[in-house]
Amino acid sequence: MNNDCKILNPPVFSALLLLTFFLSVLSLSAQDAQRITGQVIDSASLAGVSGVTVSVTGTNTSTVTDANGKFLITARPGQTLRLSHIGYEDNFYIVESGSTSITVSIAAKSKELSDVVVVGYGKQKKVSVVAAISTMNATGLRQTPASNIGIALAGRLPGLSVLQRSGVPGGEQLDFYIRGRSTLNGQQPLILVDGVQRDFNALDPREVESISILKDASATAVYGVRGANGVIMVTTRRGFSGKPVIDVTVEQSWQSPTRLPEMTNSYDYAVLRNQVEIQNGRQPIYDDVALEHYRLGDKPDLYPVRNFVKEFMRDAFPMQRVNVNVAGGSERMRYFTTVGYLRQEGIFKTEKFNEYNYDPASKANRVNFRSNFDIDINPSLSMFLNISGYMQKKNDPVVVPNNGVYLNDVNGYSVVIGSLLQTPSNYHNDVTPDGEVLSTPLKGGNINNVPYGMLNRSGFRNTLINQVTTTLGVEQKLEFLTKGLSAKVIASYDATAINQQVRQRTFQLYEAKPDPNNPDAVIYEPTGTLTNSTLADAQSQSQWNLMNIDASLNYGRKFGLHDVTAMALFNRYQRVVNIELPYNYIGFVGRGTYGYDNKYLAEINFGYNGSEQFAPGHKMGFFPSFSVGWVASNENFVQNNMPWLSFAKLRASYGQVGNDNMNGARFAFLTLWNGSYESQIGNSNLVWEKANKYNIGLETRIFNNFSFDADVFYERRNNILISATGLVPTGVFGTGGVFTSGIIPRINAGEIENKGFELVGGYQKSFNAETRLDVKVNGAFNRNKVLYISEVLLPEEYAYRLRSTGYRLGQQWGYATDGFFNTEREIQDWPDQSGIGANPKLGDLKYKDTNGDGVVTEQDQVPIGFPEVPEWTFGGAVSFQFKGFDISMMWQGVANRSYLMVGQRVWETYNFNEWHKEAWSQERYDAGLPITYPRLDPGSNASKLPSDFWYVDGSYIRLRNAEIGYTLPKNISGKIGAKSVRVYANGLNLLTFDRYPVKYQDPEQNNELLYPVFKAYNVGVNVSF
Amino acid sequence: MKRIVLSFTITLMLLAQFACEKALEKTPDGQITIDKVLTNYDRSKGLLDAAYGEIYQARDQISFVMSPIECLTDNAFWAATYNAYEWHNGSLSLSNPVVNWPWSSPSEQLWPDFWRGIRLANNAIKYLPQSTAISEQERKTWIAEARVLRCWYYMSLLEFYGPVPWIEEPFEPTYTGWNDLVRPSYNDIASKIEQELLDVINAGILPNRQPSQDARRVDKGIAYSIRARVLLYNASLLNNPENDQGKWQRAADAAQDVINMAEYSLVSMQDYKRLFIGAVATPVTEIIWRAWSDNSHINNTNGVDVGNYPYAAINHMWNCGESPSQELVDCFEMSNGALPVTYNDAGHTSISVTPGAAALGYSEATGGDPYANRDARFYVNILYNMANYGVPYNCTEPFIIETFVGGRSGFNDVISQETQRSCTGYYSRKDKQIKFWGPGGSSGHEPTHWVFFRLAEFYLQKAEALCELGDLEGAKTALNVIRERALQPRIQDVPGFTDSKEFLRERIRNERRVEFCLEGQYRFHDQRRWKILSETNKFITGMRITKEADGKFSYERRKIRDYQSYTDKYLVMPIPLEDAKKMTGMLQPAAWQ
Repeated sequence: MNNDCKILNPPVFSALLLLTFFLSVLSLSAQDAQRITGQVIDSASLAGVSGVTVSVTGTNTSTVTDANGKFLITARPGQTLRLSHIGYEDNFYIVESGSTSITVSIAAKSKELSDVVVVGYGKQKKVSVVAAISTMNATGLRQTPASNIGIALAGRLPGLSVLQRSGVPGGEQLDFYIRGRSTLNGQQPLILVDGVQRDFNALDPREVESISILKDASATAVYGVRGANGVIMVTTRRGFSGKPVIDVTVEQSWQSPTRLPEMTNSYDYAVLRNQVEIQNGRQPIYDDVALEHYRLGDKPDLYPVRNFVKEFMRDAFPMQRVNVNVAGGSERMRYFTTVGYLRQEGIFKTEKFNEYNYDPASKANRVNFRSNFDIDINPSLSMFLNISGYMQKKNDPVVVPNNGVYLNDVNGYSVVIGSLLQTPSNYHNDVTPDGEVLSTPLKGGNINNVPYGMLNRSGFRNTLINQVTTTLGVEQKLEFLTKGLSAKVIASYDATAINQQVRQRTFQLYEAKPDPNNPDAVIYEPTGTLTNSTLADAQSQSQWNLMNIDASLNYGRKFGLHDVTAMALFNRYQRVVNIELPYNYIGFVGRGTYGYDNKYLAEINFGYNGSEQFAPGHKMGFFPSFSVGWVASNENFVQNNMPWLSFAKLRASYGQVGNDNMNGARFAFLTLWNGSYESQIGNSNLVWEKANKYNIGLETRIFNNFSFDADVFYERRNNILISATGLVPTGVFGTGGVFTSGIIPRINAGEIENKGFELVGGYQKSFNAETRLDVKVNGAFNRNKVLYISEVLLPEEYAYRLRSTGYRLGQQWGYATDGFFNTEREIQDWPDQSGIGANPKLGDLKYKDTNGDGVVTEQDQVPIGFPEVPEWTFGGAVSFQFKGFDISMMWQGVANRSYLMVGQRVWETYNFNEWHKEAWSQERYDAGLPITYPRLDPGSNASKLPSDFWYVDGSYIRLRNAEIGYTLPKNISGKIGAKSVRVYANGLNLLTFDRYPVKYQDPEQNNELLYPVFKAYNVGVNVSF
Repeated sequence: MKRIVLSFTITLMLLAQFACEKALEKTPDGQITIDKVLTNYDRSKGLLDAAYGEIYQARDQISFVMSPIECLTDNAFWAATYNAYEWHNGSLSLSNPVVNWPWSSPSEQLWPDFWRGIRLANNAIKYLPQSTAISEQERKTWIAEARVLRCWYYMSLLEFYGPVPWIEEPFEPTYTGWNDLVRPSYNDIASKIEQELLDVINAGILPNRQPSQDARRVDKGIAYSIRARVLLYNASLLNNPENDQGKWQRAADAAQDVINMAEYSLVSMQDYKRLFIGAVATPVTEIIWRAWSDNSHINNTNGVDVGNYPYAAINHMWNCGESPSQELVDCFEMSNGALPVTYNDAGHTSISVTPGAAALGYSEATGGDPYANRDARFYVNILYNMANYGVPYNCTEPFIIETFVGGRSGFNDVISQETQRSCTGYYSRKDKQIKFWGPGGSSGHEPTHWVFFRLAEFYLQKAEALCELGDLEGAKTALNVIRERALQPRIQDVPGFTDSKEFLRERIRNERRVEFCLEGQYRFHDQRRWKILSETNKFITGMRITKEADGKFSYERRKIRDYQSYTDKYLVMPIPLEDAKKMTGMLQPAAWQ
């Protein structure tokens, strides 16, 4: 680290703290006590408020205001008066020397008005927020029995798409998109936990207070060069003054895959296999005797009848969760502490391998902990400390395919799933009578990867993750300088260590052969090059850490009807990942807000920050945003004429935000040399991509029961970093060529626009103290368009000469189909499509000659459907409480999405599924039976090219979660000393409706071999003491 | 208010000290930036090595993997439906350069490779002056070498793609002037290259000829050779339609400058094979420059499949590759200087034996022998029916070529697939050696190096230029130097000699075709610069020989394939579409507009 910049070094940090203490000590200088007369007034009506408790903090002195709000008390300068009253926000007043007659206002605690929203580097009253921010509270998280809280976000936050790609225990993959996609490079939003860029997947839902997404420039400009893709902010729970509340939750879930492929049984497999052979003019493989045995399943050693998916995957697997948290505090110290425990098992059936006494079962155990403290050291100095973390221990089978290459869990499970799908049901048993791993079938193709062996005989892997995250914050009021001024320093240090132990072995494969002496018996012979080995040990470790410091100066004061706040903040961030070069950011952040009479709001935010991704002189960028708001419902004419409109706010924002993500590339400004060749041609002019964001929003409450919010946005992203292929003649540039391809310089030239809207409607009604209904629906739409990515125009013969420009990001391409070739005549009459595959045969897909040149070639490809990232996302939640009962559910869905259904789960490459029974065959065609699949033709062939036949509608709607709970009457819960006892049952992904032609895979997944996504049924009990 | 301003100022000043951009500086690591190149001797030297690195080292590297460019001409035929097949199909188009590696991405060859060579030479020229790790002498020498190399790549570009602009600096990624690049006239760029080479030559930094241990490095001889070849192209019909005699004079003078160099002399016919076989470190007086990487794999992809050797188990080769055409064989004179045949029909299937050839016993009648008493170079270059290929490594019996139908290396009638047997009845021999093959994969071959320049070229260039200038005596003298080395009679003494420019021009061209056949790019570029493509590249023929029951051979000339590769579009290669689109000022060759 550079000597001049030691902010993250301990000495400098301590010096900063010392400075802060020094400032606070200044304000503690003791002076004589003085008598103070005063009045407490309502901040809105300015009338005196009676019954307000006025106390000198840190002493026993207190009094209560009279009918006019007047009071009399004795205090020393520097001491703080606390004013508290039911229905009002607490207010504080610092006694100044000589102030003997004072007026202090307190603000009524109306629910709407007092709601506080977390914004970038601070908090704001909800009413005065002029940015597009959506927030969900933790209730929704708790209703979703998932091991990863990201899963619970889907459908809750308008504008956020969440797609769960895989369900590996402790290794779920989730993709988040805020307002869709606007760039070719890093798409993922910035994720912050308590203001620091951190991973939130492993948080326990019960340590979370709320989750917000920041969508427009007004909200994200403060994050400058990292804010363009939006921000997800997770806020954890904090303590409160009062008696401790102890809260215990125990949950038990059963998870099962939402979808599993259905492969054909032995008989159907053999029939279809014969059909393929006959269609290709070969002899059928299975004779009538074999078919009959497969049908009856009466001779399984020679004619096995199996179901690999069922035999190797469990129908249901448990997850347990326990959480204990304690929150409370005194006047000057508040705390929230929690410990959570999660245990999750995996989908694959495994067996202990006795020879080495190991258990390859897939399972994960996690312990989360958190302690959040808030301490008021003195009336002007407060601090907080968050310490949290988790330990996760994960056990998996080591999956080693026959090529002997070690795979990590995601890839390993894909290979296992692939092997389950590709192994026909008439294949042999898993082990020989002697317990050796059995491979290779008697007849048919060559199966390399044996699922039994990969799961049970390749060893096991133990992954231990330890993470500790800490944040220390100190806030010093600087009232002695000027009223309303404070300084704050927040420092964070996170450390994560991952230790992986791999105990790996190889196994000898055996193959079953008919006994030459007895045709009804089999013998087993070793095959393959691998032999049974002992366990070999290997270990890998990785370590990440993160340091972040925010130092800020805040100002907030009211002058009559004028409400002014300002903030200036310095940020420094460093993340270290293993041996990679550290990732560094620095930045200044500024914010000024102005409110007049709670009616007219204006706000300026800016981030001036820098990224090491760019050349000297280009590192720092300025990202401003401007926003205004108008709370119409606070206007007299509105109140008088539209009394039904209890709240209405219009807001508008414009700003610029950046994105320095270069799709993983770092330091693209440097020209690098490999020896004496350029291995990277740097562009020293590179800068971040710029998002120009416009947003108009409306928030309303009608009759206090209905709410309707709407946001419309337009975003134009320019400077997107792209390869300069469309501008630079790569040949002449001198870095192209067959043997030297690849180092095309990058330029800031891409341009993409994205627009859309979000609508939220709500209805809340408390019919009486025991009956309450809440309904919330939201829908969000976005559509992007590539305006420029330096694409080269294809030759004129192409039906479509551009493949990206003018289309949506991720536009999919392929051939337009027109059914199957049913007769030889149709083949002859159809344009020649042999150029994109072999000469067509009966039952192949017909491709349209869209450019009309009489032959079907690559030139005839057309845009098909929608991108894989959905354009529409929607969610709807209903909850109802009656007496002790509560019931809720949440539906969630996406639309305008297309998915390319390909691969082993769909195609007949190695095995057949139920769909293939409806494949084209002469018999089916002659009989007039429905035909929904082309002629069966294992291997690659022209029918399997990307076409509108394989692109399917990827829309879905699912019952994301549903919950029913019962809270025991107080007299019963009181008997065990509890304040409240609630028992409940809930579920995740309970119902799914989609339009896939075959229901072989969860619609959120984007690869057919990914670990299945779960549904879950969960019961739990929550006790508070 | 003052206090607010004051306190903000103080705080901002406090914060500012942390806000230095230095925090964003890249942490030192192993990545190499230019300063690390310039302060390191090996890396600085590597700048020059890199510029050498783009020179094709194998003559089957141009056009398509394993397929020598000779197969794109009327000299040789390549079976199977790869690039050569597509080339002759007429598939060349703006978006399909044919001369590519179809399974690579990008698949384009030549154009990007030559430009890359220019970039690497420009890198050396730009950065070597800044290197602190090399001596002044090295700096001067290496820059001079890089400048010559840059001219070599320009020469290559000019041969295939016509004139292109002179670029002296490596392009920066921020360069935006692509649309301003325009083609110079051929004469302008040729003059520029000449000037550049003369500058280097006259600076006296490079030796006349590199010592044998540095044979790969450029010297004055190479610089003179590049200049001569560029000026020959500049004077040729394709680029000199107005027949500017001054251009021919420059070409003749440039050739003379090479001939004048005392360091080079022709080898005797006895040593002729040593031009193509032998270690690069063993100098040959005639060779001015040749590839320094061993090219002997060409034995495995072009030539005779010795796997049919009847006396020992020898591995089969993959493909017979380039098979000389009957047209090429017909170019080899009889030893008395007579051309053997004249064609009676447009399809070359009916011939008359010339009197001079008949006198030496040439006959294609059954039982006749068309292969006896030919130019000595025929036996170096061509393997024909019943030729003795010599003894494979570690063997004792010679391998006798049998190209007759059903013979050991017999005729193949199927031209659309890979084949180990020739479709023309001939095999190439020039840089092939039977010793490459031995039982059980053993091998006793010598290295093979592709010759870029040898002195013979410049005698024939001088002859051609003087002929065009009307100096027939000078032309004959220069031509006879080559003929005499080949042990052929002087041109004045050949049967049917006519002392005319036309006769001489034809025989000089024939001499060039024979002398340089199967040797690289000569025929490809000669067909173009003489604009004889449409006359010579419409089809080729082979010799289908059948062995009669009485052991006599009967000969049938047979058309192998019609070619579509003779149109004007094939004269100058188009700029690949992807590049052309981004350089609107760089016009495509006339036939492509």
